[in-house]
Amino acid sequence: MRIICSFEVKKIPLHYRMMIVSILKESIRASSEEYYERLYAQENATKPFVFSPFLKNFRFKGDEIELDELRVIISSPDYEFLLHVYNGLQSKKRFEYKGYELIRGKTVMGDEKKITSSTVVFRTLSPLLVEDENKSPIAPDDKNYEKHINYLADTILYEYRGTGLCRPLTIRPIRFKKMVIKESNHQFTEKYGEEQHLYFTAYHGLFKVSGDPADLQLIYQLGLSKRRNQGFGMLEVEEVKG
Amino acid sequence: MKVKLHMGEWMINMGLVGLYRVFEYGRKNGIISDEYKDSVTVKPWGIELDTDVLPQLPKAYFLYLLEEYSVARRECERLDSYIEQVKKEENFKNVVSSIKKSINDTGKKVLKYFPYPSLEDVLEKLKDVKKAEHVSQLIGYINEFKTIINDQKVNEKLTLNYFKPAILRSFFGQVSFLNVAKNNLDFDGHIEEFYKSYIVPVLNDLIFEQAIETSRSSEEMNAFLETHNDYQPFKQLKREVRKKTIEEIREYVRTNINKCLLFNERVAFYNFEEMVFSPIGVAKDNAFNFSWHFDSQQPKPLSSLAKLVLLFAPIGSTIYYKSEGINEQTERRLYAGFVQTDATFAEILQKNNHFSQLKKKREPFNKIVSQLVQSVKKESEYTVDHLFFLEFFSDYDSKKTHLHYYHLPMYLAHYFKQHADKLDYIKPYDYREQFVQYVLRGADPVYVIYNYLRDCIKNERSTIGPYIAVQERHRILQFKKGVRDMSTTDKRVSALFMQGREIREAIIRSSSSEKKVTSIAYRLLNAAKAGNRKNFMDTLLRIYMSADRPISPIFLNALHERDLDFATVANAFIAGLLANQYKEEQEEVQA
Repeated sequence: MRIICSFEVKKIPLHYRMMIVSILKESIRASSEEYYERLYAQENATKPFVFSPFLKNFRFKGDEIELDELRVIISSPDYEFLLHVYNGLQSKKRFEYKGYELIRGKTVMGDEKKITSSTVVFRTLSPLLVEDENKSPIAPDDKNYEKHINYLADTILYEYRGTGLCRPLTIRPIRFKKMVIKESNHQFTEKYGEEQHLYFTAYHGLFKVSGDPADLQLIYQLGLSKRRNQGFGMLEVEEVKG
Repeated sequence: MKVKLHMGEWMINMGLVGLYRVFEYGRKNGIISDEYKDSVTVKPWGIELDTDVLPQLPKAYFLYLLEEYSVARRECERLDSYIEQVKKEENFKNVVSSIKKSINDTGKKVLKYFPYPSLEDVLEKLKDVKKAEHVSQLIGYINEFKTIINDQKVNEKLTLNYFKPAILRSFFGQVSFLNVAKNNLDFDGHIEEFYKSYIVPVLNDLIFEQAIETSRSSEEMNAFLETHNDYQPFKQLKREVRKKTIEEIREYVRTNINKCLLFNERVAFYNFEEMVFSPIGVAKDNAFNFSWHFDSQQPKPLSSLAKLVLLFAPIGSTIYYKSEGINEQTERRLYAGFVQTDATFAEILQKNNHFSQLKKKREPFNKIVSQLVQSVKKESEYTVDHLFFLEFFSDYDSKKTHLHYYHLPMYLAHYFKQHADKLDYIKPYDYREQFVQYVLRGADPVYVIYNYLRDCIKNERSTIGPYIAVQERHRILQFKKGVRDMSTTDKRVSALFMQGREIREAIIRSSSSEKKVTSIAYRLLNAAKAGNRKNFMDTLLRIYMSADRPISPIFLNALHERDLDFATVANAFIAGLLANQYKEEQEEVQA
């Protein structure tokens, strides 16, 4: 299921993805402390959701972005997670992050498609980040791209439902565009200071995936990328191949 | 001679209760003379019967049935209630046609057997009653008609014609006075037929048993059989034992003549067949598989005494109409019910008398159950455990029987003892009865609730009934698990109901239309019925988002079912969503 929450905001930092993560964490915590503990107890465990931010009419201004509205789509197959996120968002009207102010607007439900066929064309709503064992980015034209995607998908599904992929995925990139994303996080800041950025080489575009329909459905709901819970790898069904 | 009739299978117990009822009725109304007043006595194990009273029983049997099912009485009661209604001018048109139909139908039946010029006259004059001004004439005709059907002969004939096909036919085949060829018999003819085919065999068989014991020579035995030559079973036996010594005869009887299935010490010359007890009997010739050692002659041996006792079964059971099926597919069927326990005969008798009284008052089934249970003492848990209801509908012509056993396990006995009153809020009656029957059958009554909710959506009924049904179902589930304190779980159910109500208000405030609520309720109900949690949660989140309200975490039970099961969550919420006259309803519950 997907929910779309809009925020009224004048400007946001360049590292806005971490700001959204912070809002989500705050919301979950406001709704249920116990659930928050359960979800964030293990640092490296993946969470059952993916999100994608949309910036309306944005302008870069140095290390900040000016915009008219921020919209966040959150997708998850887990109703408990969504319920807490929704309740948490409902509980507050105003959010604050490092001096930036966000006023919550309406929350609505997004459409979610049902995948019943074994081949789909996905469009990325937020860029895919695929890395190898040494954390070097892998481009879609790399011969190991499919292998790494399969590894990612298998891990994501395993962590969500206890079993990995039913059968391996075949990936056929249709059109990809490279984008380098500037991010930061507190470990990085502590080491290199506020001025330095973390760079993620990610890809936006269209690609065709074949696999088990149930796997595809979950991948669609959970996202397919590294750092899914930090605004990477959200997918939309572009076309379903019979 | 005194015979012991021991309790046993439920049909025999039914018969014994019936026999005792008929005897009591006969004794109180002077049909059975005073000298026999002690000939039927209740013992802990059953009934002790003095056979001298047997010839008096047929008359008491028919008179009992005549009083119980008196057509005249029922007609008069019905007409009296019509008279009350017809006096109001606005009802006149509808009621007068019902009156005409009722009088015409019964009148024609009377005229078939008895020439009654005054009745013909009434029927003729009745045609002219058309306007509300004619009400006083109409009442006059009704009274005249009432006098006619109260004529003993008329009532006797009509009632006989009623209870034979309607009541007795579901118990027996076309045997003795129930055969269509005997339809023209009058009252005394019926008594005679009863005597010939039921009492005579019992008397003969009992003397035979005695003769076998006491005869000192084969001549004596042969002479006995000779004197009863017109009794079919003896005729055959006579040929078999003619040349035997008395020891050989005894040996022959011991080894070759079967003992009764139901009264084990009695000789059995008959069979347990559908004509003797149609609900579970099968025709001897058509059910070869049921034969012991493929003996098609006497597959299930039965004594004449058991056959007689079974004839009293319709009187021992309680007869009532029951609707089966849901909504448009409802069918009203005539059921016979019985309460069976492992207790003494006196207790069975008392419980069944109670049961039949309550049924006559049209008490709902759950009330009956709880009241019957309440008399059971705590210490006799064994008895509680072995109390069960049994009811059946049987149609001899189509060879169809619906037989339901309702066992009452401990947890249900406790439940009914504590909470049965709550079920009164489940209205209409049909749903309550269905609910209780599902529960007694050990089935989940959730399907009744689904239908009930659907009915509420469709017909805009008050939803306090479904809400109570949801709550009680949940309580029963908790009782089953051994939980006895209901305060926390009740709170959860009511919280869900309140959530539904709040959302309803929010929706109506924003869209100002009932239609939206109805369509949401349908969607949620379909999801609940199909067990589709995902769909349910989807719809739920959508409603809450559009109402811009937080969702209670209690709904998560629909997913993990930690405190409440999915059906309870869904149904309680839907009931709340539909609760339109909430205020009045709450007062009703508290009252």
